[in-house]
Amino acid sequence: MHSNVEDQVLIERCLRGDQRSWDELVERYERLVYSVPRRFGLGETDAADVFQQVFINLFRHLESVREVERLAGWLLTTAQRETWRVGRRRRSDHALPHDVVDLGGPSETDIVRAERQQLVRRGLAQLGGRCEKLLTALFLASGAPNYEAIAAELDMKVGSIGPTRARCFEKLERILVDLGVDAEAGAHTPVD
Amino acid sequence: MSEPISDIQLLQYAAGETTDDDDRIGAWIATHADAAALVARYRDVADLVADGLDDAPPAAVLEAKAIFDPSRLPRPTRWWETLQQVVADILFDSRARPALAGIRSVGVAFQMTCQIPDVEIDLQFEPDAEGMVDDVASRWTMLGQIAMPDRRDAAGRGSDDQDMVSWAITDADGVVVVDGRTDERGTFAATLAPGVYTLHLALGDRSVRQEIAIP
Repeated sequence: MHSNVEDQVLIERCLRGDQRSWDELVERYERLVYSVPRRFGLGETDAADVFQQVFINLFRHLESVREVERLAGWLLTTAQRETWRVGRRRRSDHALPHDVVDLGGPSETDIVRAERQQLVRRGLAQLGGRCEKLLTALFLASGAPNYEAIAAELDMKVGSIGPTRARCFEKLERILVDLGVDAEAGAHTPVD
Repeated sequence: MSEPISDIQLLQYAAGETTDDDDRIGAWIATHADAAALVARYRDVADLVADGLDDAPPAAVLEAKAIFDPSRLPRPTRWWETLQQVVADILFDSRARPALAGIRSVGVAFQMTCQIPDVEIDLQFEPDAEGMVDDVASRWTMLGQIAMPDRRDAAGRGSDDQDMVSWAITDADGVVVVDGRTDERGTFAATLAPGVYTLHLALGDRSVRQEIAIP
């Protein structure tokens, strides 16, 4: 389970030789980093190469990254740069079906979204247990969720899914507030 | 007056789960900002979670964790490396004077005095009784004192106190073994195992260094 420790604190601990803090940084950002090459069309092997290179760069630059206010932004930028580099190599090998263009780094919107995604994932991990599983299943359902399948998966009654979701979401919101997620950010989303 | 819409119903609605009450819920949301905000927040969070972030393969995560190697971490800049380095001159070492030191032994207390202009540094080393094994000390207590120029004026006004000074002791590999600041009398102390060390003292813009060999 992920802790609520700030990235900068984890980096400081890494610089003092703490392997567990490094592991937590990797776990905290593995999805964010790995998703970049995948979104740009790289295959699993190339995406894994990008993934490793990003974390090698992070390790090498821990001291300077400690000064970076937003680690998610640094990782996104590095992941895009590595993706572009690998993509260019593959393009010259004709191994990539389409061009990976140099986007010149992620936009502010991308970074803010990535940070929020990361924090929501952390919030869910902190929530843990059945609440984490239930909310994740409901959030990831495409279209209306299949209550019967979710109830069977989580060994709960179909009728208890709604009330449990409400309680779990309330807990998640409290965690997200503690994590600094802007609770109002979604309030401006148009309501159907 | 219509029955209030519960959070359970609002979240159902937010998740796109159609019910017979959808029209009523829609109307409720249109007139209740709290309800609208809850629906929006739920959709926002759901959207963030469902935004297709891929799990990295477990093997890749393990490899990324294995990248960490404490021995390859950048060595932080030490304060003494940013100052002008000055090597102190040894004025006195009791181990070089058997008559003063008595019987020379690896387990016998000794004293060193060294100096730079205007500053004398006195170091006394005592074997730690609890760390004695076959008359050989495995731990030593070092007591240090820095003597700086008298800051009292001609009339004797002022204080015997001196500025507290940063000090550090590094081992042969340059790793900091212990560090701290002197007290206002300029004294400092450390417990050290036998070995070769360097004492660093920050005196103004100078860093005074003195090698220490503990038998």
